[in-house]
Amino acid sequence: MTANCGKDHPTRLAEYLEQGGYLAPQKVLQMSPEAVIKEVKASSLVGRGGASFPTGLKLELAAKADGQPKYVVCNADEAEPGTFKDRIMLEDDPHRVLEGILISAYAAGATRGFIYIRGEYSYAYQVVSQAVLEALQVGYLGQNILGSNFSFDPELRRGAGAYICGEETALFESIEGKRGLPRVKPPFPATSGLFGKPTAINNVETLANLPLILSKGAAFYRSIGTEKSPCPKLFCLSGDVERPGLYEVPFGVTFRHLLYDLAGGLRSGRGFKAAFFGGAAGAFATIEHLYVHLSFEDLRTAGLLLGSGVITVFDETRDLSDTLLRLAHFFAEESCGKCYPCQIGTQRQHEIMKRIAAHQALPGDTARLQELIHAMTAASLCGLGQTAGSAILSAIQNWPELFKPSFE
Amino acid sequence: MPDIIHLTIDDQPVTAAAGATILKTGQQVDISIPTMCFHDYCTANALCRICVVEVEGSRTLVPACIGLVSEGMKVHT
Amino acid sequence: MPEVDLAPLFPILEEYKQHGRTALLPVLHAVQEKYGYIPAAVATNVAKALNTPLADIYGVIDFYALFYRQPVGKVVMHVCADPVCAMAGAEGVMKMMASRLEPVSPGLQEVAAVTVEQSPCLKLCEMAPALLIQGEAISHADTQT
Repeated sequence: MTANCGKDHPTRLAEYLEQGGYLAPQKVLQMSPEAVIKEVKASSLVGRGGASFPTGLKLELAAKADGQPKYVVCNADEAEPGTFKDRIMLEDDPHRVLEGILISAYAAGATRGFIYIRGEYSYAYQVVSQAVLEALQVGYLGQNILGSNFSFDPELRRGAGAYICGEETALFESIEGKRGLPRVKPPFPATSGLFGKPTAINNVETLANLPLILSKGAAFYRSIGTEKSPCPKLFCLSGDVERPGLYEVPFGVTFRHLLYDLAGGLRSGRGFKAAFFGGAAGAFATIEHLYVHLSFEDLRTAGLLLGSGVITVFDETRDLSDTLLRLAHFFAEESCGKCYPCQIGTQRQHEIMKRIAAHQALPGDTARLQELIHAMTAASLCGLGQTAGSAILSAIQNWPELFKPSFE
Repeated sequence: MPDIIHLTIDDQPVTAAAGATILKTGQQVDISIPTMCFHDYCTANALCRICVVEVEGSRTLVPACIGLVSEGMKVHT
Repeated sequence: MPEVDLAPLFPILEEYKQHGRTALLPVLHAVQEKYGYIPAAVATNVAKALNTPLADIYGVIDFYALFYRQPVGKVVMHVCADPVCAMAGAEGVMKMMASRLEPVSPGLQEVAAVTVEQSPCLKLCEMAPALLIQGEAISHADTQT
């Protein structure tokens, strides 16, 4: 999947075609949308934005829903701290993503589509705009694609600095010209999404998997990875590693292999303290997790989260309470304010973390944090509030002493 | 003839018409669930989360003001 | 209150007004780029052109971090404040910038030369610490650069 990445320049159309690009649409347009959906379902592809919803099912639900026009959306509002895989895909291989959204549109029966790119990604926006023009010129996008009677021309939209707009319904609100406040679900996007119409919204990486599935077939795709987690996955390694960056590995390799063999281990040969899995809304892995296999099922058994594939590594010198404070600050800032558990919960979480990071924890702070995090997780309207406390909860489990007052 | 739904709220068996919310169903049997932002004539409900209830099998707590009853549902306030 | 030249605004509104409210964010982006912020007179015209209440326009401007109600510096720098960049030394860069730049008292007519802000994760984590200067990414930033 990352065959075209890391070359220091975006892959232009000509180069992409040379690499075998845009083969999938030629096949897809000969198939029925139902057949395309069947193939995607057979591949077991699940969403790569963190929620891991089965993609084939998502496309099917939108295809079967009532309402016209139908929409597909590419969610490129990547904002989870520590993740940059979508940025790299968009900047280095935009046509792969365009191919993906085209396939998703055909499958879902969508005539209109949007690519919502985070406001801070001005370079990625330029690259993708250019790629859309190239594809339009040659007929891979636009009216009557490749001589078929399927037409599709996605519109590009820019975000404006709000993490919450990565939440699917908040993203719809943003495209509709409103503040990015998430909607109550149900109803779900497949039946009532953008402008109230059936919408299939997918992450950049998810869409980038579609060309491979449709050109080489689901069986080939499933031969990579494990039984329950087939396929390749993009991991973003950052922090105290020798070689931070984007890594594409088949599901199933051990964490140790990724960290030491591929990423060169820890910088300056320091000891491993912890790794943060999943993004701001994740969990900490400690030394005992080194031999865990990186797959949905194995990570779940180990009590860790795959999320979007973020792994931030901390060496033995790092003060984790500073990291936790920054995460708490992040959530308090980015909370949209629509529902109380998150609006107030993230503020309180931040206040308590400020005390703890300043070594001024009060007796009972640990219990306070646990209680408010449970409330946020169970009662919040959307994923932001539901996961805002997961990092801190994980830290309380692993390093309870960090949260205790110094005299205890 | 509207469908009749059978469910339990706090272990008490209740029946309701299909399409009824957990909140209204509870009120029918004198089980009062607190609300704050709910209003019959407003659409922006389920914001304050005060009315959230536990529904067995659900990942998160469900707002009773918009949560629809379903056959066999087990609700705990 | 300085007079705002509305002439550059009209071509933008002409292009977008047929789409109504859904064009609000693209319009505000264009305005932000042209003017450096969203002047009150501009906001009023946008509201009329897109048939949207002015209160909603301001709601959107205030909600999104990249839209500014007040003039900001000619050059806007965002310094990432999230864990990975902090671990790599972003705080030092931030402090250095803040101390080098002369504070501008509010109410001054001239626009400051530079505005420095803390920002959430800029997704340049593999090249931490990171900054955005007028939208362009700068990575592996240190006090030298």
